[in-house]
This record gives sequence, C-alpha cells and structure tokens, in this order.
Amino acid sequence: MVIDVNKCIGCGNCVIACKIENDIPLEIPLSRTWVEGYSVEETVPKAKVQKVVMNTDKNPFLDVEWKYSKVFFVPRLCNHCANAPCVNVCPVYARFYTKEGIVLVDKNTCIGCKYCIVACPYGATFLHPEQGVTDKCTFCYHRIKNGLEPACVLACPTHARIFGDVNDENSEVYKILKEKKVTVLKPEEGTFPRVFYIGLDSRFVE
Amino acid sequence: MKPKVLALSAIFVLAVYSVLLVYVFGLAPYITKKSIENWTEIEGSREKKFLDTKICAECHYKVFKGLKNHSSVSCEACHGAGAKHAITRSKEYIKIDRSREFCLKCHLDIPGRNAVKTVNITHHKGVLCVVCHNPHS
Repeated sequence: MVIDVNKCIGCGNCVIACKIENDIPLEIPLSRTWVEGYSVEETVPKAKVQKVVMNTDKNPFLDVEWKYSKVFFVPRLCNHCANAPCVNVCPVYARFYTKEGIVLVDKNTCIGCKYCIVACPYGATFLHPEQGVTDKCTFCYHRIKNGLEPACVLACPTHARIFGDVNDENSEVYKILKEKKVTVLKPEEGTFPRVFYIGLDSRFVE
Repeated sequence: MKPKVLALSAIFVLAVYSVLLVYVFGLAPYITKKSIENWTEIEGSREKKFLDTKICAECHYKVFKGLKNHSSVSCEACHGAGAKHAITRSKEYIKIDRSREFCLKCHLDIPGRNAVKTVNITHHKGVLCVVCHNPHS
C-alpha cells in the first residue's frame, strides 16, 4: 500500500469504514487503522510536536486547538512487514505470512498472550475486547481475494491510499514506486515494511 | 538404589521428549500447515459490508454518469456500507445525510487540509450546503 500524506485531509472516513467492515466496536479507542494529526514547530535541536490521534468514530481534528502552524495527517495501519516481529515472537505460531505476503492472525490458535503487541514497533496490533484474541489489519483479505479494494482505500475521498501488488507491472503501486520517492516508517527496526509513504516527514512519527 | 533412580529418570526424560517430539512434528498446527490453510480460508470468506462503486453504478447509472466534482470519490465514502442495501434495495440500509456537519467533515477549513476545496464555518451559516451545491453534479 502507498499512502500520500499530502492528500490526507483528516476526515477519518478510513477509520470508520475499517471499524464497520471488520466488526471493531466504534466507540473504543482501538482500531486497525488510525489517523495521527501532527502539529510541528521546527526548532533546533529538537522540534516541538503536538500529536492528536483519531481512532474512534469521533473526529478530534475538527475542533482541536493546534499549538503550531505546520499541520499534517498521517494515516497509520499494520505495515505487513517482510520480517515481522509479531510473527517472530508468537509462541503458538498463530501469526503467519500468506502467499501474497500479507501477515495474518489465526484467531483459532491465538491465545491472547499479547507478546505481539509488545513486539510491534508500530503499535498496529491490539487485543480485541470482544473476542479476547489479538487483532490487526489484514488488508481486508476477504475483499482483495474477491478483487475489491480494502475498505479504507474505498472510503478515502482523496485517494490518499493506493493499494496494489508491487510485483504486478500494470498496478498503480508499481508505477508509483518506480517514479516517486517514498519512505517507510522506522527503517532502523529492520522490519522491511510494505506500507510506503509519499511526502512524509517521518522524524516526528513515533 | 542409585541405578534404579538413574533408570527411572532416564525413562521420565525419554517420555517427556517423545511427547514433545510427537506434538511438534505430528500434531502442532503450524508444522502440519493445517491451521494456516484453514484460517486463510476463513479469513477469505468473511462477510463483506462495503461493496464497490461499480456495483452501485449497475442500478444508479444516471447518478454515476452525472458525477463531476465527486467523480473520484466512491459512493460508499459518503453513503456508508452498502452491502445490505444492495441485497434488500431498501432506503433503511443506506445513509443519506444532508446536514452541514456531514459536508464539513471533509470541507471545513482546518489546518493541514490542502487537497480539497474548503470553506469557513461562517459561509452562509444556517443554510444547508445541498441547497446551493449538488454533490452529484
């Protein structure tokens, strides 16, 4: 998946669509995808950062008082790493890679020990409050298997999220990665994420 | 006394290791690949709540063809999940929200919003946006 940070307007459609599609309760502050709003003032040596997170169906960006003038929104989700720490630490092998390279959680095998929550450097996995097992983004596996886009990509009004197969030469993602400069989150963790960001100042993203 | 203890402990260790070996190479779901296949199937056959703009266009072709400003926005971005509506074809299961707040979710001029046209909250206060602006044209 490629995410264009310049196009994100912080409407939160993706968060609500994801929660509806994947049966995550709307009002709890846990979500498979969430949007982070950053307000930044560049000072030396350390920039001042104010961070607001949207992970329920209520959008805080509409009435938040930003302290600094530079504001941008970063949509976040599971990075589906090629070397995923959550797969490596799972003691019961409930997490695995599919043929397409997507990281899935086998909820019948998962025992809810939360090792993966600690291991994930992106904070993308959480304990499902109703099912009692860990849960995370699956790139809407049931949708992409049937030739549809993931729910967050469908719901995004500005096409800030682009989904596709990097190995497929006709896909939009292939063309973007060929032409544009992209960045990933936390490359120093050695996880080889498969979610790429266009135009992101990744210094501020934790 | 000593050889008896040694023999017992050897039997115990053998028993434990044989149980472990049988579990790991015979029964453990990860090694047998069964659970992975099962779960991939379960995950792939889950119920969809959102569909696609192509499917909406099959019935609402006139609206779909007339779209201009919102032509790149999918129907379900505003109208909500439509799988139930596509089956029942009833108005109950689709969202039609004409309120100002709904339009301003995307078009309010908050900082950091550069990709869409924005308006101030004072712009014709009290009048619904859809009175002047048709979202489907």
